[in-house]
Amino acid sequence: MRLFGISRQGRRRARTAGILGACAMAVIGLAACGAVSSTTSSGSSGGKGVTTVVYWNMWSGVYANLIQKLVNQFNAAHPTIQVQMLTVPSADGDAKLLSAIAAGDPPDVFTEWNPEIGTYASTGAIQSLSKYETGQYKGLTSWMYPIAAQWGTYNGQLYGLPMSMSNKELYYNKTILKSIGVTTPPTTFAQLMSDQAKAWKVSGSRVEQVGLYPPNDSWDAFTCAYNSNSYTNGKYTLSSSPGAKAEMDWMAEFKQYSYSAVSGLESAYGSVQGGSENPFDMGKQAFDVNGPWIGADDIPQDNPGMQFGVVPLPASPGAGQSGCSDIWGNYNVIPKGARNPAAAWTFMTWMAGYDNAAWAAKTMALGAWLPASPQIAAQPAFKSWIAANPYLKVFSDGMSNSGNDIVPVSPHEVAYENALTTAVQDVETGAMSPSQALTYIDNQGNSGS
Amino acid sequence: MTRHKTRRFDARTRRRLRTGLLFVSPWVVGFLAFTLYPFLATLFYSFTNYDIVSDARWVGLANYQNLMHDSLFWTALWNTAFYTILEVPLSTVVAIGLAMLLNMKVKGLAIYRTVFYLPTVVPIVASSILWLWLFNPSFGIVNDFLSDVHVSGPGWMFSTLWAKPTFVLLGIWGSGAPMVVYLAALQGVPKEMYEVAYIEGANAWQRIRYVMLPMISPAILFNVILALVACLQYFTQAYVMTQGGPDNSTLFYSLYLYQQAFQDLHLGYASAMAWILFVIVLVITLLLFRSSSRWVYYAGRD
Repeated sequence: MRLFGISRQGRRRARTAGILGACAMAVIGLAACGAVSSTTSSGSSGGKGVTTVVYWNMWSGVYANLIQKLVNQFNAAHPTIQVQMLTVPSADGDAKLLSAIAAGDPPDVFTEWNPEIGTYASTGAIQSLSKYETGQYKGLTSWMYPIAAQWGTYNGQLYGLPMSMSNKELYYNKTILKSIGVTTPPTTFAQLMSDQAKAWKVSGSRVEQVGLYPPNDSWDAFTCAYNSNSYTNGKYTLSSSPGAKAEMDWMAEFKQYSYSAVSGLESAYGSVQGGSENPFDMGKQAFDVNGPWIGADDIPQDNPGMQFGVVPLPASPGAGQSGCSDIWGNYNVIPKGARNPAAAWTFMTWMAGYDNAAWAAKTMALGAWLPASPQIAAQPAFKSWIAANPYLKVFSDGMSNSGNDIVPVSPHEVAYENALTTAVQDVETGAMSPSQALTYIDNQGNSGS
Repeated sequence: MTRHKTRRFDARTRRRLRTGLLFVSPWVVGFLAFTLYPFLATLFYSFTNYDIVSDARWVGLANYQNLMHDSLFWTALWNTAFYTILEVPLSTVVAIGLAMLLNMKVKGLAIYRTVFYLPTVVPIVASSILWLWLFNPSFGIVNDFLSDVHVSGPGWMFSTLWAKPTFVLLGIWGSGAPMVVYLAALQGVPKEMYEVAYIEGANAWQRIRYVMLPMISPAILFNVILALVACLQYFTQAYVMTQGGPDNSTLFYSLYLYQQAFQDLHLGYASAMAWILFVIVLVITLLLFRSSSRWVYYAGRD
């Protein structure tokens, strides 16, 4: 039988040919996509002499827009290098990075934070940057704050280059302090504890106002005050550290406040404010140990009329040093297998402000950051930002404090940080004693599990 | 002649087979690449130490042995078992009860059906956030209500004692999908069977026990198996709402597996966990199937 002049057999052949053709088109299409993707990643566009640097970070919202703006400024200033930025969700950003490394198609630059540098350096997931510290970059390490360089260094090699830093000092709510009859902010740890105890408002099982309550992840914020970081001969040794014992005993004092009620308050405000989980900037907490972004970004946005101040975090008696802090930063790293590491290095040093301190000083105010180098802090733009916001001077001065410390850079930093969070939570709920908690942290940190 | 016919038939069959294979090839390729290969790969990785970046290193049964001494593994297993044992029967009873109510001839039935099914179509993350608000110990509407009747509400998600039961309540709230299946099954039960039972003197409970439940037992088997598998793989709500806390009281098995794999990069360890979970699910499902001959009634059979 023929239909439209074509036999059944012919139609069958045509149909089969059509399917094969469609499959072929699909294969070619996919191959083409792969080719496009490959070109983008490899980043050399040949004839024009432009090198593409693929850059991933884990920012979102306004911060992602800000970083994109900075990238655009780099691109405008560097006609032969074009940076393509991609934001990946922070929840699984590290997993995506490692998958990309395993697949042989990593980005050229990745902005990493918290304690992954040591873990990644020890497994070879990121490249040593020390080989680039030649010529014009020879003085790079000494250009940074010593603490900033220490954070990015593992086994004597530089692995991460910071683009911005932060520390934590003591915020206080002026209105709450006035309401409890406190006229001056605390200068000693004893005074801080006494003042914060007066500020709590509890109605039945409901906490309506907090004095001070260290969140699960706040161990590091007080390590400097207690001199409690303890890492010797490649092992975490908190259980034998007097400072760590004192800090954990202090954390255990907060057992007297209902963990679930405080968490309820934090969760309520955290949900309202998109996960910041900080009742302080909503005027429901007297004290908070936090970074410059709380005053520069969160309070103006969440609670613009709030009266607050910042003082150096007092030290625990006979332990740490007043005004020092644990230091954190946004570090750029070059993953293993990056296709354009040299161009990536140029981008990283530019973002750090090594050759362009004046530009970097302007970006600090935009992101509520602290610089990685005192030379950036000396720039007029940074100085005028501090002058306009006097409370920021406490943070800026804190960067030079000789007592500053960092989480020990070790292969098991991630496991150590996870263990800290669990241990603090268990101590605050009463599930673990302070000594059990310290032993648990040592065991988890040293086994890497 | 016969041989010739056979050859022609074979040629046509081959053509059809080829065409058929071409049509199903997207699924076959997808299945091989994205299901079978990862499935078998995890078996291999479960005997290795693997962190994605470095090469996998063969460690034999070490991952399985270490799991036996990992207190968090047992905590996660206990949390998951606790949740499953409470959630499956309770949600089954609630779903059947709702289906029975919706099977009655009352005014506005379509509205009721929509209302009870609605939680199923709400995205899990959205409903999780909503529940965080409802069950907030300090500001939640649930504790406000309890306070009005002079009951001091618990800490819900933030209490080690109440966190798992709160997840069970959340699970029961989302019983819309099995409810629809039960409703369809109930509508397939002939009215005459209830009438005969009534004439024979069966009371309401006996009509449910000896007529309705046997008639919808295939639907019960289907839903119970699905619910069991879902409970044993429980993840999203805990990931969004508690991240396993407080004090690991909501560290469910899949959440711990995820943390091991994608936060701690212990891919080999996590693969071993995945295979243990697979064996648990397989054994429970087989036991359910084997027991079904005693309590599941198929109308088409004698």
